[in-house]
Amino acid sequence: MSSQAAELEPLPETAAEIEDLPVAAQDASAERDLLRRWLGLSAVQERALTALCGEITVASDLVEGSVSDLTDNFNNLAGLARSNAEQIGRVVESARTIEVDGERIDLSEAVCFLEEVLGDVVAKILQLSKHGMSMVYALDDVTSDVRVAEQTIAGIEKINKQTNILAMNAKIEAIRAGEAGAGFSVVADEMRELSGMVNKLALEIREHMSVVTKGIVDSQKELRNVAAIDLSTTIESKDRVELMTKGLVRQNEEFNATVGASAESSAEVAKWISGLITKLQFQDRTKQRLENIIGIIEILKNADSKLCEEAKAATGLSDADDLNRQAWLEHIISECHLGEMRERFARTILLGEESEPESPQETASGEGGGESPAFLDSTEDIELF
Amino acid sequence: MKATTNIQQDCIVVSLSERLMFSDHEEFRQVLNALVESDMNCCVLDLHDLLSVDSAGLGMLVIAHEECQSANANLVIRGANGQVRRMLELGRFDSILRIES
Repeated sequence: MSSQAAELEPLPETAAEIEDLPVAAQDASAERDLLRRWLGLSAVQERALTALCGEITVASDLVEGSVSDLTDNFNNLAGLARSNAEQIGRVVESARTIEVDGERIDLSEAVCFLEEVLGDVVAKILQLSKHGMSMVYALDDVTSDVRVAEQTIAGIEKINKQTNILAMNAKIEAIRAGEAGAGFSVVADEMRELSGMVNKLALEIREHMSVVTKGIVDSQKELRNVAAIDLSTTIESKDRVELMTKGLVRQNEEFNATVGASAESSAEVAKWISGLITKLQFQDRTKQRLENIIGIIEILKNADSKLCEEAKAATGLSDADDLNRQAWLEHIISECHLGEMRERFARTILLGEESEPESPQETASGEGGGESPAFLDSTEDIELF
Repeated sequence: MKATTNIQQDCIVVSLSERLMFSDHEEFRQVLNALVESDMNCCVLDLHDLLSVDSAGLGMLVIAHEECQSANANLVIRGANGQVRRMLELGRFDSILRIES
């Protein structure tokens, strides 16, 4: 090819030279001009494709970095949510039981025990009341018996009084009888003496009975004081305590339900976050696709480059001869609205540099170096970050 | 406390009214005697008009139950309401004798 190109005639370059040529020669000249323009465009395309491959890599790295950060953050969130659910679970367990002498007892079990104790207290109060009233009735019976005994003593005293009168009458009659009644007078004296002794015994019994009666009356007063203690408020307090304990259990159940729901929500959040992390794997698939795209672009670029070189060798033309090349370049670059991207494009397309793309964090902070072309200072920049 | 006694079919029914307290123990003794001396197997204490009962009153009701048992009779408490009914419930009277509404 290169030997054939060397044998070709020099081509007319100016419009005047072309007009002086015959018609066939004019057609050949127009084709040559088109070829030259295509070569110029191809050179621009080659550099633009190189820049595009770089930008795809930059975009892929940006997405990879961001997704990596997102994954880390989501993992932290999922860990916090799981930890939260575990802590809430411990709170629920702790709220359901109480510690007694180092032993964990279920709250409902403790409430049942309390109800049993209160039931026993009420049963004992009832027994106490019943025994107290039985004692009161027993003392009433004793009092009645003492009254009967006192009436009996009164009867004895009455009989004794009549006996004494009878003895006195007998004494009087014995004196009237004179000598003959002397013996009868002795009997009358004995009867009076016996009557006096019975009277003395009756008096002693009455005194003892008085002491017994006083003791019973005093005991009855004491018993009355004990039995009259109204324990109904204590019995009624059982009702109140039962209501309070049931309220406590109900409140605890509501608390457990609410906190349990919160734990479930936290577990659900952790599950959702795990799902999100899984979905973030789209980045890996996207990266593989972008690498394939870059590979295809490289193939197209290399094929274009090879064909250009062959055309140049065959025709002796140079892409530098295309007058529209600068316009192409400026048109492409003007479509780049991101400053740092435009800078890299300009370097690659104008200067043919294949500079390593800067990290998004670095490039986002400002424009490129001081050697940037003049149009890079345009105020039309649209920064997305 | 006031007490009125009636014989209804095969039962002796004693209706109590006002309040049953410790100070009523002498009047309640007469009620006990009426129940036991009736020689009836069915003894009823109607508490419909009884306004309140204290712990001594509950003790007297337990004595009435035991006296009836000793006389081979069954004591039934009927018509308790308000504070009296609540006290009977708290004292678990339904576990030792029959309670009718």
